[in-house]
Amino acid sequence: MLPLIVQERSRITNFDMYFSNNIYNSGGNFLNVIRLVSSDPTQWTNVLQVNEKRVITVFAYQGWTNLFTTLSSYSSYPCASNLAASYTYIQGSNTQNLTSDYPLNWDRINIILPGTESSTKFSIIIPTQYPSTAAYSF
Amino acid sequence: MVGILDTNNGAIRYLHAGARPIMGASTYLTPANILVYSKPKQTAMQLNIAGLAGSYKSNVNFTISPSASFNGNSYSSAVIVMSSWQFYVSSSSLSPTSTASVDPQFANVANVEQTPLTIQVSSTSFLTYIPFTTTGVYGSNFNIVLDSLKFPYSLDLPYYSVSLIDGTGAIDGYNEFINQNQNIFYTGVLQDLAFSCNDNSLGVINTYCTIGFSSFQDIEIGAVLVVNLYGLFVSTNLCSMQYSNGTSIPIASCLPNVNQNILTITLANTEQLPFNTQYSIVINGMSIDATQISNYITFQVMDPTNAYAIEQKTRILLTSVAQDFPIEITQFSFEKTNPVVPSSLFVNFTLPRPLNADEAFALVLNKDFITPNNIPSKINIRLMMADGVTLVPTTWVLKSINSQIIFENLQTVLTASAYSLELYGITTPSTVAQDMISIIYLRIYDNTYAKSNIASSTSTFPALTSKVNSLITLQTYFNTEGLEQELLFTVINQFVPITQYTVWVINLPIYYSQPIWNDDYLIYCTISGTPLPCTRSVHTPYQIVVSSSPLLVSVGSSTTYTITVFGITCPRAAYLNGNSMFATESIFLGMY
Repeated sequence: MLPLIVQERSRITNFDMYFSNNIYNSGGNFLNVIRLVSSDPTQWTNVLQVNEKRVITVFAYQGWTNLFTTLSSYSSYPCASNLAASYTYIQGSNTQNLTSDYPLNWDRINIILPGTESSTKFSIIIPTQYPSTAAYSF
Repeated sequence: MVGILDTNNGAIRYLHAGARPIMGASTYLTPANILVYSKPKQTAMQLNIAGLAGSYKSNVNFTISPSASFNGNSYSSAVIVMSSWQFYVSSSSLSPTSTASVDPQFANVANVEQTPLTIQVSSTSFLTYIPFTTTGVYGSNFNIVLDSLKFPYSLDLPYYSVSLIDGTGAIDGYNEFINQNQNIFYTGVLQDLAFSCNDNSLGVINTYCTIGFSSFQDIEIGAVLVVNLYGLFVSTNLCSMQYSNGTSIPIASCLPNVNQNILTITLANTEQLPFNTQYSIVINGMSIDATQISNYITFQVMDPTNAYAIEQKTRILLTSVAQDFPIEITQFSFEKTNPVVPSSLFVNFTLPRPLNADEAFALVLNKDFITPNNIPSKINIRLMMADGVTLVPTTWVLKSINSQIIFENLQTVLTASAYSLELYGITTPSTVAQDMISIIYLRIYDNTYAKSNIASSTSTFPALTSKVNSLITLQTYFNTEGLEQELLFTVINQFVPITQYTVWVINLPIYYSQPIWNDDYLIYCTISGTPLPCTRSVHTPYQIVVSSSPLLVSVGSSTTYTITVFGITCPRAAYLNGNSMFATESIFLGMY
């Protein structure tokens, strides 16, 4: 079993998640958008080794497969940013504990940052869909 | 969660976690139970665009209509546009008018995280996200001014929707455009178009033409250029494009349609090609229809899907009266003029023009000539300049199926001047015909004869004279594979005595080695036991030349003599003993 995620780990300030167009069943003509915004580059100061990159992982309890096409695990996810980041969709587990204490079992998008996040404010937009009014946890 | 990825092994070490997804947290969403269409439709909310399809336009107003209660004070507030074409491209930006705006506020130098972003979410769907922040309630219409927006490749306005999102992430209002605003875009004209052919003669079968053009718009990555031909035909897959300074622009493909009147050129450029710049395209395989009253092209710069013309123009070709000079064959001569003997053929000819890039120089042989000469290894062909001394290096292939000998890589070599061909090792036909051998320029793409000799430009073939058949018998010794063999010919001359000037030629079958002897020191011949000089033929494969007899032999049945050739490598047994592959092969002994 994967380890329990310790929620008490520090949070990065001035880096948060926002929802734009938060209605359900919006379809292809009015897509929902999740937006990550970092407005304080000084929060990204941990020292990287040459073989290291900062990564943001956005876990989705309801999964990331509600876009127009069914993505295969480890395929590229369509996102955009003012940084030259890369985005990879990774499928989660179907059988293990999927409660909010175990987000590592959820579908996720790994966003590998280019390094300029420590000197530049940035935003990342992630399109998605909400097919129901059920709670969506990220 | 935020962590550090070890690029060596892909392991992620998470250092920070976001808010736990519980009710009220920024990571927890319960979508609103409403429809988009129950929100106010703001009919004034639109991109104000019209103009040249596929062009880029600056200072475009995007009218936004907030409701009276609109509050945009968070990173959730934005204009989201779903469109079937990508109007906000990498070169697009907020104009200075908008970046300097205070209320509502847009991205400026200090707020790069607020710049608009675009994602392609499906093959025909693009999401553009334009964030903005007001300091609070903002209830009046305003414009977002955008630069270098990309207009669609269509004359009608394609689908797009606009939704204005407030600070809570909820839709404040929307607008949608479905199948309306016909013909608000139009196709532009090219800035400049020129068209000429290397040979502008009416009726010319194969020439190359040059299109020079410049455009008012940048040419897209992977754009398609279409050449519509009227009174002209094209048959090629060979095109080239360059800037006026000669720098080449890559082309992915160049294909004519079935009717040969539309050529589609797909570019392989990896960057946009700038507007107001001279380009030239060279198209091979063009022919000019002499029956048409005018000959012209319509040239179109299309979008990368080849669906819409962005710019186009028509240009007439100034043609001239046909002066289609044929290839001229000035002389034929055989080395031996007897029928059905190993011989050589020499052809002198004059070319009327250089060979084009899409053409091959070729010989066409008639059936009587190709039938005894369909084994390439027996033939040695030399192409000479008119001086008869300077060799033009070339390689050739024999295509039995269409009776052609095709020379390769002569496109930049042959010019409008005189040459001679030397074909060694051929077997003369039983009778000669005037069409025994023709010289052509072959358009490679469709095997069209672009140029050829005609009856009036072809010299007369020399007549053949019958040969004398003498009584010759052959004995062979040391007939073991790989051993040095001895061939013993016993001959009775009927009419001509043997003198020091007599020359014998011996042609061996192709199952012998082409150079005949493995080593030069093995070359050894005798006449009736007395040594005499013998060599390989200089140019003819499988041929031995024996000469300078030290003996004088008179004619008649009482004066038998022998010619013996030593040291020839004995061929493999598998090639002999009735092998059908070599049923027509034989040893030939001739003398003159």
